[in-house]
Amino acid sequence: MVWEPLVGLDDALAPVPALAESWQFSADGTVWTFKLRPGVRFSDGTPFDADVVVTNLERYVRLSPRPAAFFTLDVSGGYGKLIEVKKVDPLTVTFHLGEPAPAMPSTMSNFFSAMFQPAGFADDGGFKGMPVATGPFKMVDWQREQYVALERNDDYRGPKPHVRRVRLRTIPDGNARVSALLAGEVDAVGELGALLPAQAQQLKNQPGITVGADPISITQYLAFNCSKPPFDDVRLRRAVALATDLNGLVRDLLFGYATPGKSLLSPFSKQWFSPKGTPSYDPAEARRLASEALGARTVAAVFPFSISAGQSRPSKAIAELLQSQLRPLGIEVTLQALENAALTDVTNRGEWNLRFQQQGWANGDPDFIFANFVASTGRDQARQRGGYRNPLVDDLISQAKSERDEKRRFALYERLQELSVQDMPTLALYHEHAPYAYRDTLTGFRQRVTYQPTLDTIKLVK
Amino acid sequence: VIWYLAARLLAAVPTLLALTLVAFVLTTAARGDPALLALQQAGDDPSPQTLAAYRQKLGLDQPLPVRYARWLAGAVRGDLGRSYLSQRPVGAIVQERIGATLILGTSALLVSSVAGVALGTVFALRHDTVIDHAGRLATLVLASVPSFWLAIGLIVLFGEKLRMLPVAGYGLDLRLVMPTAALAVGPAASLMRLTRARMLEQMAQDHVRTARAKGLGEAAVGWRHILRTAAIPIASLLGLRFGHILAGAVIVESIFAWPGMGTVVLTAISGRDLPVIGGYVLVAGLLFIGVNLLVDLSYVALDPRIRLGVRGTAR
Repeated sequence: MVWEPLVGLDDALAPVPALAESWQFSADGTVWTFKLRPGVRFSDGTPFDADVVVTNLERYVRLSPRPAAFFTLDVSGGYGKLIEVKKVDPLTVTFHLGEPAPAMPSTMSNFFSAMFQPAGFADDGGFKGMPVATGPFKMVDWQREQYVALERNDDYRGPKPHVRRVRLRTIPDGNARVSALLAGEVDAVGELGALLPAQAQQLKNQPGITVGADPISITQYLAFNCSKPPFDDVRLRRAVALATDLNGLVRDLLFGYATPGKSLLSPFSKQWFSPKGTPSYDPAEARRLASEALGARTVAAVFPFSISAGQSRPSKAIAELLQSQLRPLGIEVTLQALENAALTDVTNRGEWNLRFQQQGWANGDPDFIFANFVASTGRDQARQRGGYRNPLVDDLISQAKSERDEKRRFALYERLQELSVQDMPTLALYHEHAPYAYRDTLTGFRQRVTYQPTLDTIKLVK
Repeated sequence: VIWYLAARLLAAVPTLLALTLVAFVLTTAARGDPALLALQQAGDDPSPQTLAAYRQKLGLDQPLPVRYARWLAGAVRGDLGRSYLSQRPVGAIVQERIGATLILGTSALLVSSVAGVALGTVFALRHDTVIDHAGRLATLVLASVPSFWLAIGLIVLFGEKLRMLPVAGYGLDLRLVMPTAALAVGPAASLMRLTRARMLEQMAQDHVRTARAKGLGEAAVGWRHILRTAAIPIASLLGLRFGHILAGAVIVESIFAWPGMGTVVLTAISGRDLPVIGGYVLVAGLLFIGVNLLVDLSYVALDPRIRLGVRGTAR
């Protein structure tokens, strides 16, 4: 709402022009040319042009890797093998890459290409004073972990926001957020994990409060440790998927604030989702597969999960539901509630059989999901010891990554989604809808698929 | 008095050393890699190269004794290092946050001592009446309730239902009331009980009876002979209770979105952010020692028989 990226994402997670008007890549796929939107000015009146883009990108490269509160700023993630950013003319910029990257507009979308007024950059990588950018709001005040005060940017080139000032407050405690809303101290509660589904359910019955939920790009997965028994046996992984009642889980534990798992790729992406990746629910078949694999034996499985994540997701209840659904298969699940840091450690040591993995799909690029989750060298399988390895799948993933034809690229990702049901390295449990709530003092509160509240559509009542 | 102060501060050094060492060892012993946690803050995952580079940048490739020694060397020069998570200097973080914690801590300490002593006195003077029995029962309950539970109860009652007090935020106005109350009630309740017990004890003593026999008025007896002699154990309990207030503040602050050290320290613990934890332990330790030093000094004012000894303890 304050800054704008070169490339934005629409609500189907497809890249759309923002500060860049159009883009195209060279025949070999290693040079991307971005045409910038003409006549854009920062809220302080200075012009936005190619020099600004180059300076911003140089700053990102210099800062990387640097942990930030919201995402790890690591340009290698957004820009692949970026060699150089060049200004061609005041409204044209070229990115020169070390290898073809057909998905670059996606990978550099949103916060990976946020543009700020370079005069505000401080030497330590922060900002001098308030960051100045091009969006519909400008930042006028900020206190770390307390609030951000925004004011409408009356010179914004697009549709202007309805409200003049917005104050975004940080209230770290979940119950206190709900109390603040009920007490009329805040007009709306939103953002990622701001309300638990159960809290949203309670607020629904309160007079003067409206509860809503919009799909967001976060999917909650159940990962299998394929490198050791029992889940090194693909039959048992499939049996777990078949035995898990995803509809029931969403209905009973999430009160409908999610879409039951449809595929490794979120169905909210119209471009990449394929129904061929949807697992079926068939408890009888699950029992048949399990008894084929185990006979009359019972096997043990360890399922560590985070207690701190319980602030935003009912992890414990879901883990218990899974535990009860796997018991008839002969899989005796031991639940381990751990604190976050300990869970990370257990995960990286491979001391687990089942675990949750939630992942935002913030850039809408399918390679991001497959390279991280499914590829044998990716984060989940290699570093977090998932241990799944299928050479065919690895090959398809690297083919798809550099495939420049959109249709062929989709066919490859469809095939990968289909294979993931067969091999079941990871089961998509549900695709989140982030609940939010607001008082009758305002209307028009929505949340984008990339989970920002839409501050520019809010209207005050009376 | 200056010598006494210097000696006491010197005696505090080993305590602070031990405190920070324990904090370092415990945090390191807990599972979890600080560098990985820092880079993973948002669910992203660093490559092994990135991770190794960051570990080296933070000095995590060094063994624990080396890291502790480096941290200590810095701390002595007033440099508390940089946060692993935000990379900001710990000194700046503490400076930014300690004010809010001090305000809340002091206000809780004042409220609990005034309320505790006043009510304790009332109960002692009205001992074995209905007020006294009801009060003792109430304080027993209140002294046992954890502050975070009380905080939530207060929010629901005064924020949501009665809408009398703001639920969250920082300011030297009504927003200070609920967090102070949540922190002060426990210590106040135990002070009440102690004050009452001590006063009853003193009231039965010879010098009080003598004073009464001299014909002194009840108020003078109560003030000069009962409360003043009962004051020393009360003051030392208050000093000890300050530690509880500081500890309770960690959670209470984050419930009320009070921007003190509390939220910082919670994030630091779950992120294994050693420099921030170390900095907090050091500052909290100093505060605690400082308050207890004031308590010791107050003994002199309260009881002229007490002289300050340089051995580190009063009396």
